[in-house]
Amino acid sequence: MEKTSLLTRFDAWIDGMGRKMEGKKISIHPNLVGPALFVVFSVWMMAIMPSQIVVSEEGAINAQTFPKLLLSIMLVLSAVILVVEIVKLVLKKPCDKVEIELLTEVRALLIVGMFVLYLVLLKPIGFIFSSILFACLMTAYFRVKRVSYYLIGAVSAILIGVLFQYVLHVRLP
Amino acid sequence: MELFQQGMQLLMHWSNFIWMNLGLIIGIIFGAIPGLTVILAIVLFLPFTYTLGPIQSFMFLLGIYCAGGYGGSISAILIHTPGTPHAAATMLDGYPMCQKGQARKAMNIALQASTFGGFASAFALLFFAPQVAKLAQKMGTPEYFLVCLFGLTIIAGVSGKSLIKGIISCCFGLFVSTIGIDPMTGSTRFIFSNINLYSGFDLVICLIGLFALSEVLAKSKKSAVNAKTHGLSKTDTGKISKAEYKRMTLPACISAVIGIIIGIIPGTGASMASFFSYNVAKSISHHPEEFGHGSVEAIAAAETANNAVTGATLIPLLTMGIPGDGCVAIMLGALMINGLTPGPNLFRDHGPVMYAIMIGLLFVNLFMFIQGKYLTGLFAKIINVPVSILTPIIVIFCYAGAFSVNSSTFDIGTVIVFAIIAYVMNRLDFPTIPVLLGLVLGDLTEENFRRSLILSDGDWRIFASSPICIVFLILLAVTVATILYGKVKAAKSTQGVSQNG
Repeated sequence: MEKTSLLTRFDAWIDGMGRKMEGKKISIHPNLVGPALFVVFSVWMMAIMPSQIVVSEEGAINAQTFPKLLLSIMLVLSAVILVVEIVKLVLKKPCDKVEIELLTEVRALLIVGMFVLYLVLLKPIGFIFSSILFACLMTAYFRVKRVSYYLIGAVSAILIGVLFQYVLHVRLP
Repeated sequence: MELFQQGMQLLMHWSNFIWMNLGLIIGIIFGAIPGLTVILAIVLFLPFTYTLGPIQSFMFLLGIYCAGGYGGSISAILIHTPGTPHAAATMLDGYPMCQKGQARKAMNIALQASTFGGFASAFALLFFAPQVAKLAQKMGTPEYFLVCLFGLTIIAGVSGKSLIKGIISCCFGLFVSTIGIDPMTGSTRFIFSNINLYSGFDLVICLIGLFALSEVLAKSKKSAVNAKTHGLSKTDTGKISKAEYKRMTLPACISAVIGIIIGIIPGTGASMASFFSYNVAKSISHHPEEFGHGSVEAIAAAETANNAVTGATLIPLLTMGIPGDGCVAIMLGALMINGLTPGPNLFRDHGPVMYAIMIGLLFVNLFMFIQGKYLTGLFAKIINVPVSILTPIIVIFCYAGAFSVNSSTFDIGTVIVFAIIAYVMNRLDFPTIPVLLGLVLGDLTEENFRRSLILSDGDWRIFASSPICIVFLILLAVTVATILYGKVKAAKSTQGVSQNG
């Protein structure tokens, strides 16, 4: 009885949190954020290239040539998008905007958290048990109340483990 | 003829047909369920092929690939949601037909047209691929680099709104492919003293992250999955009349040719083929007013074209190592695992295996027809499987598949990182398929680029030094000009619409 009320209270708490976050949106400029990330990435990679790719051979064409060419293209093209977008903003012309829902991003983070937990548990408790646990967690994430769905997830985890280990002869953790 | 016979002998083994039919079932299921894609199916089931031979592997993957095209039409007809993007044209007339109570008939037309397109494509592969391979044998490193560059023009078709973003994504994929030991000099590149990065990122690991696990992350979005299914009525026998067959013959034949031509050109794909054929069928039809309201010609044209692409995309893959689309790019992995490096020498060194695969494609289409004919009712029910059941199963498959590549949990971590990268890129309107192309073509492009420049002492004119180079340069110029013209036209029409609005 106490268990049920605890679960119900937990369910209500999640509902409350969801309601609080629902509708909260953050507006971003994808043509500013995305290219800026690529600019930072290309500059960083170019800066560390001498230490990451030690060139011993002589000549202009070496192990650095191709990555350097790619990073330069990424840098130039990202800069072009950035400049065009900044000009648009300055001239107050219409720009592309993406609305990010807070609730969606929190959900995505929760899924990533489950992925990481699954990965961490793989070695200590083994593939099949960690998979059963993950299947139950993921089904709970979808707020499913039917026990049969949890059972299907658990049985699938066992079947996949057996299939890989005994039919395909893959050594799982 | 001798190679043909040897190929036939290799193919005639019961295990090839079992794997082929298994692939077909998986393909139809993944194609039919909206949200699950053919590319996802191929990525998830690629690890299964590690323990199989090249013919079994390819029969299994070709089964998924071809049946996925047909499977997409099931949900397009029944729930107005194309299971795959290239079933969108089928939806335009398939769904209205379903609303008229003729769902079984629409699915029958889609199945027969898909089979016809698939057969036409398989014959094209059988007759043209060896000829293209002979031509490819005459190519040197500069020609090969230009072919890779031509292959990369595929990004124009998969870049969405912005071509520049597509090029950036492709460069990112090419850059990731350079991580690890440089095959030409032995220097390590961007490994950050991590022993796991010595051999670089495995293609399959990146794919699982970019396309399978990222799909699960996308489930964080509240979406309307509760689409209503019309189902199949008992009074609908699905019979196609003689007059309807007569009406469908010409558009189906033209669509098969369109599909084959589009399939051979990298960077196009089944969606383009089906819409192009749909428009052609409408322009030659005596009943254009029926288009959009349940026209039999429209369904036949769209479905013939999108399946006619399947075999044709294998021509550049098998002969030059250039994948025609994303799915075929992943199949490249299955070939390489079995020690078959796609390229001009493939037909010389492994002729019987290649012929077995090409003849196998004919059987894939035959069995697709049989499965579709007898299991349509069952497949129609599958589209109602809840996302909450499918999602954990997909993730468990991803983890098992990723671990099986190198028996390393580091690879699973890599999968998660690539899934996050794909998620962020999608949020910022950067397409992810160009990343895949970069990863697939990275090694080949770099090797031929560097070898050419080393041969010429850094002189870039080597890329215009032979007639084949010049032909490819002209092709590249024409393709780039066409793409730019198309983009400018699209931008102008969008501007016009927004001004009018």
